[in-house]
Amino acid sequence: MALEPLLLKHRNTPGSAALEFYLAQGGYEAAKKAIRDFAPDKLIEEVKASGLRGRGGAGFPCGMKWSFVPKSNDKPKYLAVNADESEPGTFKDRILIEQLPHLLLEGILICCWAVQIKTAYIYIRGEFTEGAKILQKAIDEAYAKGYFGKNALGSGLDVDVTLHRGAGAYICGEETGLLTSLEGNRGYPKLKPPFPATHGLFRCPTVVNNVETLSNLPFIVNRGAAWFKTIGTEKSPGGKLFCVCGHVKKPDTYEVPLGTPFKELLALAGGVLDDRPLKAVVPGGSSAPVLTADEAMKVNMDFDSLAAAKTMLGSGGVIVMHDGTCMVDALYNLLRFYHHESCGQCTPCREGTGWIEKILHRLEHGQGRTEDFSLLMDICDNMQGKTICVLADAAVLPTRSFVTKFRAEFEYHVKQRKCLVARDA
Amino acid sequence: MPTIKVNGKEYDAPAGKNVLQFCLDQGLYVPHYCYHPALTIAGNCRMCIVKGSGPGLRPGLMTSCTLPVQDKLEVETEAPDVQKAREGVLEFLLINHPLDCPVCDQAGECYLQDYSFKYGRDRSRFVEKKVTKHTKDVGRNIRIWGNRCIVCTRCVRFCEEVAGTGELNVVERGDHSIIDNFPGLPMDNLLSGNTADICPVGALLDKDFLYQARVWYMETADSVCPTCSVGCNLKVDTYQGQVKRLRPRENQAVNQWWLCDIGRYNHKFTSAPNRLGLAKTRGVATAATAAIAATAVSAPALEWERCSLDGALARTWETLDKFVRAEGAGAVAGLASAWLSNEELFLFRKFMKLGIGALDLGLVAHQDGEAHAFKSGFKIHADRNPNRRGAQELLGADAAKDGLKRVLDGIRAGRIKAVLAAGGIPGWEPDPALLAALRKLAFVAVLDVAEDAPLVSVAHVVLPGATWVEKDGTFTNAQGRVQRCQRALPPPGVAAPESDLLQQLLVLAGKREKVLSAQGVFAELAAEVPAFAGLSYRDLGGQGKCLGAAADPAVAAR
Amino acid sequence: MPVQFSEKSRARFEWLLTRYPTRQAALLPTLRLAEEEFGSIGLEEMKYVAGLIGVSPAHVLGVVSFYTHYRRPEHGKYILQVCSTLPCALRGCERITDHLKKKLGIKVGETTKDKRFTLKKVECLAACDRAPMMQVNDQDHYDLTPEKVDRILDGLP
Repeated sequence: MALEPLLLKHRNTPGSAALEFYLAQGGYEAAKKAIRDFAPDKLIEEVKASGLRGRGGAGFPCGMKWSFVPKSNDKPKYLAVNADESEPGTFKDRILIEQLPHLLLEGILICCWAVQIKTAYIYIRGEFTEGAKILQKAIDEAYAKGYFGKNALGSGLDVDVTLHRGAGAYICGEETGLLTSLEGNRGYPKLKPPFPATHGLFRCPTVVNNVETLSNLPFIVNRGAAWFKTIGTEKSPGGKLFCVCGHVKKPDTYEVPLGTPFKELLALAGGVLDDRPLKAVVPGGSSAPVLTADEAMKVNMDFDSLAAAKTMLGSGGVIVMHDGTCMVDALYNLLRFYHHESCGQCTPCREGTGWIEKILHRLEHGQGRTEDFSLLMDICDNMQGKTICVLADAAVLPTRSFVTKFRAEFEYHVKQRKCLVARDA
Repeated sequence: MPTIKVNGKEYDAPAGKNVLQFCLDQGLYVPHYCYHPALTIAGNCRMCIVKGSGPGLRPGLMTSCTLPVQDKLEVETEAPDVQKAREGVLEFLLINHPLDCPVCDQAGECYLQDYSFKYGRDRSRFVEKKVTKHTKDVGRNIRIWGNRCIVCTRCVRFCEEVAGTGELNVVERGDHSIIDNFPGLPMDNLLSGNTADICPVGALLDKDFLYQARVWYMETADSVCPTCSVGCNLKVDTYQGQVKRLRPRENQAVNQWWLCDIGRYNHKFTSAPNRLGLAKTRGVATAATAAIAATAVSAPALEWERCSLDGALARTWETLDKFVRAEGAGAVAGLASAWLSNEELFLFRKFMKLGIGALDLGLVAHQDGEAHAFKSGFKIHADRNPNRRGAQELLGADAAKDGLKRVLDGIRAGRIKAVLAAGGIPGWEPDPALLAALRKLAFVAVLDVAEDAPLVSVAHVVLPGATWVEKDGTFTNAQGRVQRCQRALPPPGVAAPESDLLQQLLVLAGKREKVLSAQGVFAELAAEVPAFAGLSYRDLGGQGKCLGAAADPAVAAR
Repeated sequence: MPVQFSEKSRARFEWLLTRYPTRQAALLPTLRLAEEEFGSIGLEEMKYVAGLIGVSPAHVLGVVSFYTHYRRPEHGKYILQVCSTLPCALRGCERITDHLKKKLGIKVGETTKDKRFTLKKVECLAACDRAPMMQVNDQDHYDLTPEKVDRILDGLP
């Protein structure tokens, strides 16, 4: 299914990050329109009507999230932009930040107008040094034009935006870990409830939105909720950036309507590397349960279809693996990641991620035991749903799905004390 | 008030209170590590998981410390999946734990051990290499065994929220997370010892108590701290006749859950080699004669002779009596210390007034220390005496304030010839003028606890008394709260609580028939001294009562 | 010599404070400022920043050690951060790490004796479309081969 590229329309156009370029494309008109034509409540309704769902991972309806923020102004309200892109297999926000920073800034203005927020922070992951420079330049340009600051864009609302660099911690992509980090702490996720909408940043009402989510807003405002709903599926409207990586010929970010069959996405990415048989696909960032080739080739890429396939759309990071992949090694790699990135706050995650990694290390190195399978499943039971945030679950989901769906391969490692697949780089 | 159901039983519960604390208040068992009622809720250990459901709540497992009481909430604390979750948490906590209980001081009072009893496995499923962490001093008094740490952050929150000093933090992350201080800036706040108390495992240990005793061999008595006029409630842990450790005992009206380091470690004098275990006298016969001949010999010039306690008591009474007969009652004065219990101060005054008829009573007290206040409101008073307030009530406000000066003046004027002084004060540095004056006296009898105490140096008779851990009695703290200290140990040798010694003097003076227990004396005191009216040991209980409580409901509510 | 911000950094710090409702929120950016000014974040720098922000040095130590991206005194002039997470692993990042280990004669996590290079394996750097990749200080390098790695290292000043 073809889609007029929106978010990625100007990617790879030289100078796309500059304000003049963006203005030449009609930039900031949507924000002006939002302020001119929409009372804040009406704007929230419009975004609700568009059905836009969060593009960060959880897929929560964006307008609904905004509507949870109290209308009263007795406390400051904040927008925290989640630009801490670090879900393995995901690299879409990096492109938006580096190539179309003003699109994001315009989205921020629209959100701030809708929720009447005066202070926005963009929490950008520490490693995005180049992105931070580009974004800071864009912010400076926008301030110079009066798009931010006092009476932003002539709206009567003062809107400030501050770029805030993270410092290397996956957990700060979790919305409350992000807030704790922004407050100047170790990035420990916060206890919920209360939720950020009422007790977020500095204990004040806070909207946390992902870069891609916000970047959709100018289009929704310009063309209307009804137009947005014509793209994608009923419950997953709109286009989506999918980051296709791993064993494909053309790893890249692809913008397609939600609901696009995986098969088509794979074709867009040029098919499997070296034309080898497809073995497995992680469809929504490393935390999503893995799909076998058969499952993947049948699934459509939207929130509900992937949920029906017992996995998730997540961040849109699509990791493709061909038949040369050792699933034990792949899972071991992922658990090393979760072990490394567990903040260490909750017992089950702090201890469980490391334990699973160690067991997988043994399995991978020919020292597995048959009882390790039931042990792994039991550790998963003891972790899942028992922690403050979902990092434990994010480690459990791949573990369960890899071990269950590729059991024979894991058993081969135990019995033969070596790998089933011939390894090739 | 909301109604909630716990394990099928209905309770009225205060809205907003966390369910864990509510369950604990009801005596229901809910295991937990990170939760402490004094600290902000961290919710990190995940041990207090219960099964919950209610309006607006997604039913399932949740931590009870983070779950506020609300109407129609239903909680199960013992469901099979709750049990399973707790078993999981405990197993996670133990996989990287060294299981070195045989050499761990926490053994016997360790939450890991306690919960293993209910949730533990009989063997480990963890066969890999454990993560290892540092063992080091993190403070003047505290050492951490990082391998035993469960990163519950109680100590970190304590330093931040109670002490307000923030010396400790979690460093690194994930399963390498470990408690540490900033290099070169160890935890040196004056509440640091509490971190070892609230550490639920053997990670933070008190260096003072390290390898001193297995806790299950120790005996414990409830008491109060004598080191300042706050009167923190504490427990005295003893082993083989020695105090091994002082621990705070919760009293929300006084010390909440805490004990300061100054008080905590101020028990070494109880078993110091300088403790007086025998009575002794020097030059008493000469003194008595000399008194009449007015050619007194200063005590320090004389040689000590050993003496039975009864003999020393008899000589004390007889000599004082001789002075009264020869010079009049005004020739004998009394000095009581603010380290004496209420009962002892009462008896002291009784003996001096009824037995002797003395005119002048004075109060001696430990010199002031530095006052401290902490973020949580906890205070250390400058007044380093446990019972100045009691002395004001029992000796009289005037005697407590100006009595000492009058005694000093009387000695200098030659009017006062003999002094009875009672109540050893550990670490006391008295006014040199006082000692100089006493040194010139014809007769000084003291009840004290240390061989090298200042008053002993000027005494003719020394009656060995008891430290606060060796006696029953009550102290009145600065807020007027009367609190019991209970005997944890026998005094050394023939030493005896001052209340016994003073009663024996009263018996010798013919003013009392027999020696009563501290409780008996308190009953007498309460009957005679209006401020204490209506109080009794039973009434004081473990938390004490304020003076005037019986008469005034507003005071009683304090 | 005690560490202290230059006038320029000081001004930048003061500006940072105006961007947040609490001083503490300026901690991470102030650490970045310190990193730029002093070259790395060591104990003295942490103490200095703690004083500026008004938190305990232990708090700053906890924060710095929580994050992986601050430059520490033990690091070499160039920190080579080779992404090692699954998407890069599928594209052969192990070859890149092995090559660097051999070339530099150090293990992962170590620094060369001349303090020129520190080799780190890091988690997903969000450039999976151009895997394998590494970050050399602030510069990203994509689609790596051992030969390309050689050229990159040889071209460093």
